[in-house]
Amino acid sequence: MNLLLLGMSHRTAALELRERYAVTDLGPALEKLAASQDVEECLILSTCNRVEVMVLTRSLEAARLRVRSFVERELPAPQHGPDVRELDAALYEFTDGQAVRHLFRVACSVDSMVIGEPQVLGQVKDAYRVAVANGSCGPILSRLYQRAFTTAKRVRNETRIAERPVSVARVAVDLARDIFETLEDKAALMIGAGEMIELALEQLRAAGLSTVRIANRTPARAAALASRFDASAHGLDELPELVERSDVVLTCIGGEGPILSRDSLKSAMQKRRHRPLFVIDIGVPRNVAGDAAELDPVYLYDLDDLSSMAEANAEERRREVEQAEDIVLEEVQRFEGWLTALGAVPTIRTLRARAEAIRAAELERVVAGLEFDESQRAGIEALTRGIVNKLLHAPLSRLRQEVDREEGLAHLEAARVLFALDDPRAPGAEADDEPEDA
Amino acid sequence: MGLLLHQLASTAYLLAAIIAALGFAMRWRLLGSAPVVALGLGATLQFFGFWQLHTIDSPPSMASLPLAVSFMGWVGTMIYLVFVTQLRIRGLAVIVAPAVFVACFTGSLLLEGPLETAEPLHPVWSHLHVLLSSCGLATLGVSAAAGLLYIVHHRAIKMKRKKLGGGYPSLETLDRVNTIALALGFLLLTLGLVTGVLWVQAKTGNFWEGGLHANATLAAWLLNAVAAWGRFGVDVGARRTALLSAGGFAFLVLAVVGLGVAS
Repeated sequence: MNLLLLGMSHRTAALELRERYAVTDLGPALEKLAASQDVEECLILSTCNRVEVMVLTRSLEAARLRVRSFVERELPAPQHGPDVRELDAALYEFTDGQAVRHLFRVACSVDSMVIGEPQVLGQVKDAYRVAVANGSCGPILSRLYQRAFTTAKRVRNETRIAERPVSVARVAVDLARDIFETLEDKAALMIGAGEMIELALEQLRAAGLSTVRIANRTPARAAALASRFDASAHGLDELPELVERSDVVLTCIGGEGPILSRDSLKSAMQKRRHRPLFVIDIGVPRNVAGDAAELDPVYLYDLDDLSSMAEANAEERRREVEQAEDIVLEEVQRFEGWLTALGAVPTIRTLRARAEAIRAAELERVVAGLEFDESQRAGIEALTRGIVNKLLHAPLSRLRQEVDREEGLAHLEAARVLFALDDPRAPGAEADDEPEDA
Repeated sequence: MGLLLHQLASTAYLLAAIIAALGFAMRWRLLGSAPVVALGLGATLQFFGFWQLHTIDSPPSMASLPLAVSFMGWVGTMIYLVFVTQLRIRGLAVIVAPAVFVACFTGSLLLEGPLETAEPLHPVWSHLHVLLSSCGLATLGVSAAAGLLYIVHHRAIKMKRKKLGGGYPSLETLDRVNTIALALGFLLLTLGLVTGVLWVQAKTGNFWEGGLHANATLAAWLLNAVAAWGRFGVDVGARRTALLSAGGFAFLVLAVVGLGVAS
């Protein structure tokens, strides 16, 4: 049995190409792939950053051709024909241990565009659920994906890969949490109604922020955004009073000079009676006068501050990758050990069956010309069985014990060669086809 | 037995301090509740230590410095544990745990020597004075710890610098702990001072005998009064209150414990 993974990701393919091969409905695609006789089990992962096909096969070469043709001809949307040269450059392929390692790295978000992002694990879980529901994911791939989820959990718990935020909006939310005990009883003022405000608003709402007010030059745009976020809309003329009543001020609005001066903030702070004010200025040019940061307790962060913090956090995540890779390697070895152990069972079973067949045949040949009563025959039967069992005991025990270790696979291979277990003409081979004895 | 329990409590506090320091330096969130558990264990052991010491035939006086210092550590731990159940303040263990370890360990070291027994003439005033003052000092200690952490955290956020360590409680939480503990601690300290005056009056007939310890304690009380007035009277803001409470507590420790040990 071999594992084969074929796919493309943000590292090898441009967004346009990934979009062309993205699978929107996994069910029918899995059915087509699973129908192939060279594919024992299969799973498709399709996200905005990658399209990957994982299959378990008895015939690696045949499966390679089948999966390649499946990706080339059956994945692209009907309006796009396959571009073989472009696809060749974008596709990567991993087999066996390398495929396991790649999957674990993907699940742990080590291979993601933003290292440590949590979404990819959810996407891998979804792909697994669909494959299980479609019956294309059997016991081996199930075990493999369960192991991938465990690995991802370990990496998240044992490293700091996902600890610090790497987007400007998330950095701002984390800073707000550093200042305020909870955001649930806090009020935020959004100055502007553009895309950046919307993104930040989504994060702040997700963090539990309760009251939101949106102020904009064009009140209609403020009202449109306010209606989507259950907020109130205001004009810029209300700013002094709004600042006074808010705990978080996020501003991103066009214009020449600052719309919040040091004096206006000082006046608001006097009325706030020393309650802290977190001001996030992501406008370019800046919307808040820089010297307002001197006021106490005003915490003023501009786009450069937040960006450099996000970059520092991303750097920290990159440093954690090494530790994550160690965990991945450990888990890959564990899975390979399990796979090898799985391979040992048929070897042991075949060896026992062959030995028993030889014993029975030789006994039959010898006793056929002699006259033995029932008890004598039973005695000889027990004697020969005992000799075979004693001879096999040591090698079989050794195979069972070492199957989890690195040398286990080599011993397993040696056993198959020494006892000619793969030779159908070897003595006792006829027992291979017989049903297993209880 | 009482001494042994104090020594065991010191070990638990030391463990709490080490775990808290590791969690702070390495930003291990998994260690979050471990220092709290270790502090709880230490407080329980110390409680039984006190119980043992006070069930012997001639119990030592609470007015003896080793017991008073150890008692302050225990009260500080209990106040911190009460705050932990109400607020997200586990990160404060990084200051509280080593402080209570020092208090309990110093107390248990001194407990090995000869101890004063309870004053036969005015046991009520002496006990009340020591109990209330110790509680006040311990509570102000928690306030100062929160204030200290507030200053460090506030400075890091304000200056946009990378923070030293991790697991800081929010500024708002630290300010809340600082304020509540300051109010409660100042009240207890004031009552301690009043009972101290009544004790002196019962002993000598005068309300004020003076002396280095009494004068320094009065000065420390005044400093803490300024901190309390700054917060509740004119509202100087969280940062200044944090500075005042940390300064007030440092002076108080110097006046009560430092001069006590020196004398």
